[in-house]
Order: sequence, then C-alpha cells, then structure tokens
Amino acid sequence: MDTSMSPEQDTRIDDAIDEVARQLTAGSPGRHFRARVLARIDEPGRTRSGWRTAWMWSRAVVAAMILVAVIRGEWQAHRVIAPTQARQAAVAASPLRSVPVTTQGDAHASSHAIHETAPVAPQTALAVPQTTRAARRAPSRTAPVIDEWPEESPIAALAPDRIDVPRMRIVALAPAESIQLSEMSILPIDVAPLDRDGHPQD
Amino acid sequence: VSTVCVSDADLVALARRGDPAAFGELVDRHRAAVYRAALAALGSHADAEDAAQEAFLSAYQRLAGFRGDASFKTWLLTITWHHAINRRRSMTRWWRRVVALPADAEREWDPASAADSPEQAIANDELRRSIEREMRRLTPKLRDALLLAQSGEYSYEEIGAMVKAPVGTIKWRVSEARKRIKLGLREHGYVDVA
Repeated sequence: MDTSMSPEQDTRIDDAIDEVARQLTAGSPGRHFRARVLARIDEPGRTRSGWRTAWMWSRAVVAAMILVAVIRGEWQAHRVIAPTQARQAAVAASPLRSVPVTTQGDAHASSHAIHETAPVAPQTALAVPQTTRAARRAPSRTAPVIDEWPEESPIAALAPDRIDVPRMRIVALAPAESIQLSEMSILPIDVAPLDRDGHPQD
Repeated sequence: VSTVCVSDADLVALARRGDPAAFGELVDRHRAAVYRAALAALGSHADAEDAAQEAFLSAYQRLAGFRGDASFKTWLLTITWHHAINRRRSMTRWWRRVVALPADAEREWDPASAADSPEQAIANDELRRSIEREMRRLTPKLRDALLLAQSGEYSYEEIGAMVKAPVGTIKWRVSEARKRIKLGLREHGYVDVA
C-alpha cells in the first residue's frame, strides 16, 4: 500500500505522534513519593529482601523434607527387600537353578526336545537389589543380580535356613496313544411323561 | 545544605555509608525519569507508581553492587525497566490493561490551540485518538521504543541500556513504529485530512 504523504501531511502526522507519545508518558509520582520510598527502605519487613529470605528458607525446608523422604525410602527398601534377597540367594545356590534339562527318548521325541530352564524364581524381578532409585524404577528381569547384593543386611539373618534340594531331572514322556477324544454322537432320546409307577407312558 | 552541586556519584557514596538523606536526594533527582519509564511500560499511573517505588527500593538494596560503569541514572533506569516489564508480564496486570482500554479511549487531550477553528480542533482530536489506537496495535518492542524516545526524558543510549538493545536497533524501532502508525492512519483515510 502506498504510504506516501505530502511533506506537510507527514510533518503534521509526526507532530501528532510525538504529542500523543508525550502525553502517554506524561506525569509524575505523587507528592510524597520520596517519603514513601524512604519509609519502605526503613521497614525491612516490607522489603523484598524479607520475602526473599522467607522464600529461600521455604525452599531449604522443602529440600530437607525431600532428603528425609528419600533416605527413609531407601531404608524401607532395604528392610523389605533384604529377606527376599536372602531367599533368592538360597534358591540361586540350589542345583535347581538354571539346569538345562534335555528330554530324552526316541528320535521323534528328541526332535521336540526342549531346553528348559528350571524356573528359578518367579519373583526374580523382586530380587533386584534396590540400592538405587533407578533400579527401583526399572527392575531388570534378566540381569543375574542376586550375586550383586552389596552387603548382608542384618535382617537377612531372620530368613529361613538354606534348603538343600537334590538334583531333579524331568524325563520325557514316552510316545503314547493320543488322548484325543473320538467324536461323540448323540442318539435321539424320546421323552415321555411318567405314570404313577414311574414308567414312561406310551 | 544545598545538594545541587553534589554529583550523583557523591550521593551514591554517601548513601552507601548509610546516609538516608543522600539517597532521598537521588530519589528526588530521578523520580520523574523512573516514573515515566514505568508509565511507558505499564500504561497505568497506579502501576507506574508502584513499579517506581520498587525500582528505588531495589536500587537501594543493590547500591553496594553499583560499580559506576554507567551513570547512576542509566543504572537506575535499567532496574526500573526490569521491574516494569516483570510487572507487565504478569497476566493479572495484562488483563487489567485490557479491561482499562475503553477508559483510555476517553482520555482528555490538551485543549486545541486557540488559533484552530472548531472544525480543525475536532479533526485534531480525532487524529490523536486514532494515533493512540494505532500505537496500541504496535508490538510491545516498537511501542516501548517510540514512547521512551518521544517522552523527551531519555537519550537513545539510555533507552538502549534499558531495553538491552543497540542504539541502532532503537532508532529503527522508532522509525518502524512511526511507519506503521502512518500506514494504519492511511487505512482509515487520515492522510486526506486537511
């Protein structure tokens, strides 16, 4: 859009802009401005520094509360996890753990041989040492973490004694007849009312 | 004792030593400049007064950190602008300004020159109102630069220190603000005003 103006118009508009700008910023503080400023300086309770101090103290208190909560959480984690860990250690030491058992039998069976790993513990995830928050957030199901428990908890002494279980082997089932059921056929059934003696009426 | 011949630097030194009268003198010397800067940013006299008081209070508390790299006035205006902009950014203040817009539209302008005819006086009044409306449509940066520059209170260097922009940028913003106001006026047919 063409914004060209005549020099007279341009000057007149510029003067008007200057005047409006001056009027929008015209004014002065109240008569007792200096007294009010000095009064605020003399009243430290109303100054920003007072609020700043309070704000800083409040942040320190919140930080302290969070620290206490974290420490308490760690302590709780040790207290709860330690017995489980002890049990896990016992299970881990047993021969049942991770023994590859290969099915034996004929060729047909061996073709279906399954390398099974004995279920060490369904609560493996719970056995992850909860020494860090990260570990608690993302427990690994695969990491062999039982041996990594850093130190013996005094509460672990309360755990039951180690149970020695003899080595177990699962033998493959011999091929057998199929247990599949033959198809069932249902014959027609006649239903008739019964007489007084309980016999069907013709 | 007259303090007219005492420099700002001397008054600052006295105030640092705990002389409240010295700081009071600094308040008297610069209160108009501080107040108008706050008014340019906030557009409200009440808010400008509060921001000006906070600026002086903040300056007093930071007096020990004043190194004298710039003049006391420039340093004070920088603090003032910081307080004023923080206040303006508050949503509450922003809403108050929006609500107050209709009242601003009823601003009483200075009486027209006696030499103006009644028709000319009406036309001038209408032109001022249109300019104010166009100023309100400017971006904050352009409007701030224009108001500060045309208030007659600050040099371009002082404005640059306040808004943390080079002098060349400030001059461009003032020029751009004028251009956009004129464009808006032309869209409303004011170019043809006699």
